[in-house]
Amino acid sequence: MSYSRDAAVDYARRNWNTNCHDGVISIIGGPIISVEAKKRQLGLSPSSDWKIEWMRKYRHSDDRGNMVEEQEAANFVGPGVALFLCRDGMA
Amino acid sequence: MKTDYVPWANSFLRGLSFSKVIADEVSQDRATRIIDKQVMKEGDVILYFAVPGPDAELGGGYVHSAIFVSPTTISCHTISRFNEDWTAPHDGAGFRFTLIHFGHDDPPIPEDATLAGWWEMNWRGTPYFYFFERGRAWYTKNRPSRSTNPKLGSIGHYFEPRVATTSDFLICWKETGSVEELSIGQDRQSLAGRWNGSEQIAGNKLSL
Repeated sequence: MSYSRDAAVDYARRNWNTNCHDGVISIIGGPIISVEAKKRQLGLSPSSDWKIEWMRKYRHSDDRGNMVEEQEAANFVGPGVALFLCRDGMA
Repeated sequence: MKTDYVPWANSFLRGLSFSKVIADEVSQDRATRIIDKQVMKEGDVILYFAVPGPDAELGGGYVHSAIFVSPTTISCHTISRFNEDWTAPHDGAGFRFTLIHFGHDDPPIPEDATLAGWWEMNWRGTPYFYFFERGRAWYTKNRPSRSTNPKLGSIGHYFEPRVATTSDFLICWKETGSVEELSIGQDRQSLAGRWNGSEQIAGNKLSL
């Protein structure tokens, strides 16, 4: 068995802010989210056009218009649009 | 290997023929000393061990892992990190740290021929007997009677220094996480240096 340091670091560089082979992500304070299941729930198709991207320190307005800062969040990035995913798993 | 179960990753990685457990569930200050010496390389692994107790994460045990992407920074999931300090997932409170280095590409150690065999070292007034063999070291408090490798006692790994130092090599002891930085005397039969950057340690080669 051989081990490539470059390949390992490259894998981390390519996947650190998205899901890797396990197909799940987690946002601080929230449950583990299956990326493919969430795509189906949100009607994001074709699946291959949508990629999950992790974000840090995301600011957005809440239901009352107040600005809040999420320690972590994620975006489903698709053709020309991004859907925000917060820690309760709802977009 | 594909797993999100860190205890299994721990067992698997330890079992690889080219893996070296540099430190085994050691405190943060001990891990820091090793990492600051740049013993860990890109692609090496750190495992985070929650000390079992009522407040321990997941009840305790190995709960997180990360790979080094530089000698001092890591990348991991599920909280996404890349090139962050190795302490980012957990500081020392309630945690201990295991450092797994892959030795398949370790360069030959120029001093190996001199170091090979038994040495009697003195630390804190107590004799310890070290055996060096191709990057691995053992120590025992029992005076050896034969010249062969005992493969008993505590194990360590030694490396050429990777940061500026006057020492010829350093030893990382797996169970304690101690670091000894040693130099070979001009007579090639003596060693002297420091234990964990402070206490003196010295000794001489044994003829067996």
